[in-house]
Amino acid sequence: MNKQETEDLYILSLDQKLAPADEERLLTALREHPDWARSLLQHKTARELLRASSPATFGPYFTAKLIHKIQNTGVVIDRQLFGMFKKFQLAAVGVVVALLILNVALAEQGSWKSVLGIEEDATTPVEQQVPFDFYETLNNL
Amino acid sequence: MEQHKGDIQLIEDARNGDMTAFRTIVERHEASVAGVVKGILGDTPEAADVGQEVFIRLFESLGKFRGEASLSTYVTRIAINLSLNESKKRKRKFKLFGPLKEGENTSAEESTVDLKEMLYHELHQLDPEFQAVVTLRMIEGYSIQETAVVLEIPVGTVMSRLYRAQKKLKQVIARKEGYE
Repeated sequence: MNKQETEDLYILSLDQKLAPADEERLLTALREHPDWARSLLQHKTARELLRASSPATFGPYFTAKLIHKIQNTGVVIDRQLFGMFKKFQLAAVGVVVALLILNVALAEQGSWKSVLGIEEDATTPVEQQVPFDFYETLNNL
Repeated sequence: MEQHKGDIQLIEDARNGDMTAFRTIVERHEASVAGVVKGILGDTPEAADVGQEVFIRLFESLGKFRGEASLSTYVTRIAINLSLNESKKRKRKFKLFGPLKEGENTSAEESTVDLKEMLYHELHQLDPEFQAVVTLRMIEGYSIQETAVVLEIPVGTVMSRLYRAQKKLKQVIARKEGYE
């Protein structure tokens, strides 16, 4: 095993248990190359130095200051339900856009009025259209 | 009394306006949030501000918390996201105003600087995504699985980021000890 492979295996061993065969290969490599072992120990040193030795804190009165801020700056619990339905909102917008695209694709006329379905199909001018005569219709029955 | 209640009960009480319950939540999670925020931002004045913001966000979102993740995971995620945002802001500012002038915290000074500080300095030079993994795993002692859950990334990504960060951090020790 070369130095790079040994280092990779050593780093892996810091985070998970190695397979017995890998463990054996690593130990053998470290025994054969004490200088590699010394160098690899630096990985462990780095971890040990970084490891939090005592619980961190934001200093005295952190909680009191926080509660004071919440109570005095109008911070409130967001009880709106909208946030919970974001996925559904997105899906609904997607469906609307898809329908609009479909409508554009199938529209016979290219005008935006026809696409939105608000253009009158006025084949007969309005002034020539005969109003419906209710009484005449009844008499003819 | 509040100390003995579980997180879910405390959240329920806080939702109903019980500020003592919320205070207990803050006290219970301050250490882990502080560890994460300071791990990424260092022990700076902004860290406490971000810490406050984390709990304010938590308070605001109490109404939406559905318990899918544990409160600890939920609050740690908020802490990670806000710290990474702050870290990115800092990096942008750093780019805008340029690197430190010669003589300011250079390698000549390193020999007198505590090794731990040097490691933290190196940690803060890493990309924010790497900082998050290192902070959770190496500083706060989360397992690989827990780190993956909190950051919502695959275990393999955690491992590869750790590997690269580990190599960078080792260089600090190697420089100090004079051999690689």
